[in-house]
Amino acid sequence: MKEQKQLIKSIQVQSFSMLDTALFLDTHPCDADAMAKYTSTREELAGLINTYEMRFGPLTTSGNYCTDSWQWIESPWPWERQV
Amino acid sequence: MFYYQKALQYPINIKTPNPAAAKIIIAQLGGPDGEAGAAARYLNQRFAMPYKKGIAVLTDVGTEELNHEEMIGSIIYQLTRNLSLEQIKASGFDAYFVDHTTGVYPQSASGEPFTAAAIQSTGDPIADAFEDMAAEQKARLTYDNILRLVDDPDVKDAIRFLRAREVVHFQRFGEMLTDIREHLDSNNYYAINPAFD
Repeated sequence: MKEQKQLIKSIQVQSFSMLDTALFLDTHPCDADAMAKYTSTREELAGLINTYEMRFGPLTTSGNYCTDSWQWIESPWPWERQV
Repeated sequence: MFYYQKALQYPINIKTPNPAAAKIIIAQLGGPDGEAGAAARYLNQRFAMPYKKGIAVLTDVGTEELNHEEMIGSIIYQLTRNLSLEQIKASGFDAYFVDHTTGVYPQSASGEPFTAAAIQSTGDPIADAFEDMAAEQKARLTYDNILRLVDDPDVKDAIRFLRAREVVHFQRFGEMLTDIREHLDSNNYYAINPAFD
């Protein structure tokens, strides 16, 4: 549970970093520093999401790696989670 | 959380502008049974839903409604491209045009701005489930009415897809209601709110 919480926290941090970098790039599409930040964040986030979904279940409906049951419906949902 | 995928759920490629059609199809953007209201209804009802299947259905249908909102916006956009002032006047699109030019604004076909007064989130999952099933039927019949009024095959193709989704959603909400009933206390004969009392 502790590791799950830490992973979710990292995903939230990296997702927000990606979101804010993307928003900056919308108005500065040729900014080299922002592009570098985007590229490294994207790779890190993809790895974190893959690790999370393999171990703890799907974060989106396309991340249900368990092949014999639909884990998407399992609790807790984010508004129930104590992070 | 939500993020955007840069692809429509179903392709929209309308070759012929038609402001008269846009005027009625906008019902399904901001009208009483439109997609904006549908998304707001389901995504907000989730918080009062105590059962996991119901939460998943409300999340997944509510999210799909955002796709449909974008599809209707795309239809309105494509139907109102490159209009002449003569076309705007002759089609009756002038009343909309004077307020919004060809911008996409969530309103009903009769011009009422989008209002959450047409939706509910009651805090009672049974009442909400019945509302959701009714909402899907109302959206389906609105698409049926649009299909009666519009001739363009490009438009009808997309509207038929959206209509079919209402039918599927009605089915899933019916199953959600069955699941809620199965959770009820056996003495709760009249299905009083299981989320509060």
